[in-house]
Amino acid sequence: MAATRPPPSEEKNPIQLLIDWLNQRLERTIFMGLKFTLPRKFVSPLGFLGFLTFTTFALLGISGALLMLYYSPTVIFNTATGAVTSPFDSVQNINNVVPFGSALRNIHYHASNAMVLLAVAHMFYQYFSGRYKLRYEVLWVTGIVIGILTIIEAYTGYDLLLNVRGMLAINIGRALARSTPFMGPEAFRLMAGTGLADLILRFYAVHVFIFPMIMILIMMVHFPRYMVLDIPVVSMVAGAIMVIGGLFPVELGAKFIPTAEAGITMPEWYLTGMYAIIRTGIDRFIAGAVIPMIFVIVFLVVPFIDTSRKLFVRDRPFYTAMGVAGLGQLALTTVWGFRANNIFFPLDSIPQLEIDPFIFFGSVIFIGAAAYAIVYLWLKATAPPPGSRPMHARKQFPVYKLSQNEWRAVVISLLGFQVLFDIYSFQAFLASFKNVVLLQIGVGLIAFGILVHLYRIGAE
Amino acid sequence: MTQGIQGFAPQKRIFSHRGQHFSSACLSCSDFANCCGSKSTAELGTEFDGASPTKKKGLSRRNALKIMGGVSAALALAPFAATGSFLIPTISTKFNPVLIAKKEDVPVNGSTVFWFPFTTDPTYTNMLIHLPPDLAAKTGQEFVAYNRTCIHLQCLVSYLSNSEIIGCPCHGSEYRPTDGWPVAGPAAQIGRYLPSVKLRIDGDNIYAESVNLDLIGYGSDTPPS
Repeated sequence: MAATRPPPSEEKNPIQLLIDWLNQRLERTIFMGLKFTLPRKFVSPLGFLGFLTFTTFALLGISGALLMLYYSPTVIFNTATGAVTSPFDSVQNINNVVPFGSALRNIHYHASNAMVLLAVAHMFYQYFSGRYKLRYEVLWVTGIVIGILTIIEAYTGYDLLLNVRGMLAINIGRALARSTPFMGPEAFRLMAGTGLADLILRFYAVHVFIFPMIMILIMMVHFPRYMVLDIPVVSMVAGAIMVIGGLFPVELGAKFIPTAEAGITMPEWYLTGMYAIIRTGIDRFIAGAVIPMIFVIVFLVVPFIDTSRKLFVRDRPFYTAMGVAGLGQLALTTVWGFRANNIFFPLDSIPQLEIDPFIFFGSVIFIGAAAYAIVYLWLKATAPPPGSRPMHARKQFPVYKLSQNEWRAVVISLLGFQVLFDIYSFQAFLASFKNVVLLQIGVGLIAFGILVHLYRIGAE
Repeated sequence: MTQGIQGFAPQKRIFSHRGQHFSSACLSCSDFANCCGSKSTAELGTEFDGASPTKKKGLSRRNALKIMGGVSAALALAPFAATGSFLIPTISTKFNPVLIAKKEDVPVNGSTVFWFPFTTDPTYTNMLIHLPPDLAAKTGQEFVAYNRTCIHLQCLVSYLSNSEIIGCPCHGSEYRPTDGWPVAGPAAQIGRYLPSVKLRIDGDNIYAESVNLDLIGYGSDTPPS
């Protein structure tokens, strides 16, 4: 039998032929300008956090486009009856009535959180590994711009619900725009239009089209030529978003009605840092615009100040310590946004909202200085003696090789697991256990990721 | 000729171009186009080696054209600056008076909420306050009206009859009902009057006449007239 088989090089099935044909034609397109690497073994996801951020962006695009089919940005106040027609009604409809609507909303919400988190992690990883200077400047600056756009995009998104929490964010945003020292009324009108209906419509246009388009344009510059498309990790991140969505479904909140009593609501976690600064009661424009801008500008100019050729974390004690200090300040302000005027107590009454600016800024400066000093001194103390060339050898992880039978058993049980979960999730869908459906889709995606990983290590 | 004394210096050659003479050193000059060369070959051999160009005064034709192109592009794009106004909607500043209440509808030390001048945003809600006698004697007016948008972070304030004060539910700012001056909370740190609505009292009817829209949610530097 073996003798009659043609040599493997001549053996090409129609699918391979089609892929070859397509590959040759795609060389004429812009698509081939990007080099995708499909890693043949496990590589650390820290190296392609940017691509994972883009994955969540794509997930947001798909889920967002579908949500648009049912979302309505209409705001009408009936002054006679006090009734409010609000986008909240349409979101409530998506959440409670539209089949699979709550799952899509959950995916959209949790993917937005994941995108902000991954973008911040990506930025700090690139920072600590020195990939912001020495020809990385354009990638770094465009990355920071996309990061800011991402946060504004998320902000406009959660305001579109027009629940009490969204209204708080809208009010703070409007108050900040109006408090601009020059062109204040114009900045306010630019954002708010002539009323809340205008504002929601503007936020909607910005959220679903204008900003995503600008982000895609900047991404064209920001994308490096060589990219890692790690299918197992990508599908596991998507799966994790859905599992979290199933376990912790996002709440609708309370509908905003002008006559209702406003309680204490907090902005999303990526804005609580800014919220904490505003709560100190210093001038709003300084709190909400100048201080965040200083933070951004420091990051923007780093590659133009640090032009040394050293890249390794331990070789750059000053910049490493500065990065840790910035991270510490970011964490402190973010946590404080959720807490009372004393960070050690939860926020549960209105008088606790006001934070003493001396204590607040004192502790922010203290934590920055302490983090800087500790990291800097530690790096200096443990630095190798001058003249010796430090070896930054990679750690070798022990690899367990599966035997043929073990491999077969794992793959078959994973496939069986997926089949079972598909049936189970369909059943849950029929029984309208919405969160269970989402959870199971996520688990299925994670199983797929593990399977692809097994395929590639088995194919070696 | 003094060159090539020890036989190491390269031979300097002289060549002509468009009636001018240049040293071979000119070939490595970065600004060759602006070099005016020399009228005679003798100069090149002695003091002037032609390698130090003397710039023509004024612009070269090429640079003049570049600047012209830039100016033209700027002029072509300039009219688009006006499209910025597309982003900022015009909003009427002249309003028809609106009957908001009758005198007997609002009891002493009571208040009523009304929408003015639009009904598109809760920041266009205002409160009409029937001042208690002692406060009314102070201001000389029985009825006052303020916009309800707090100048701190745009929550909606209300008149609290028990304490005879205007209070914000969000962050605890308090305003005087007589002139809308912030007396407590974060608004007091900002220090601007709550925008007042101009009223016209015609017999038993109270009309709202005007309010400064640019001051809503921001506050007024001047007390109500």
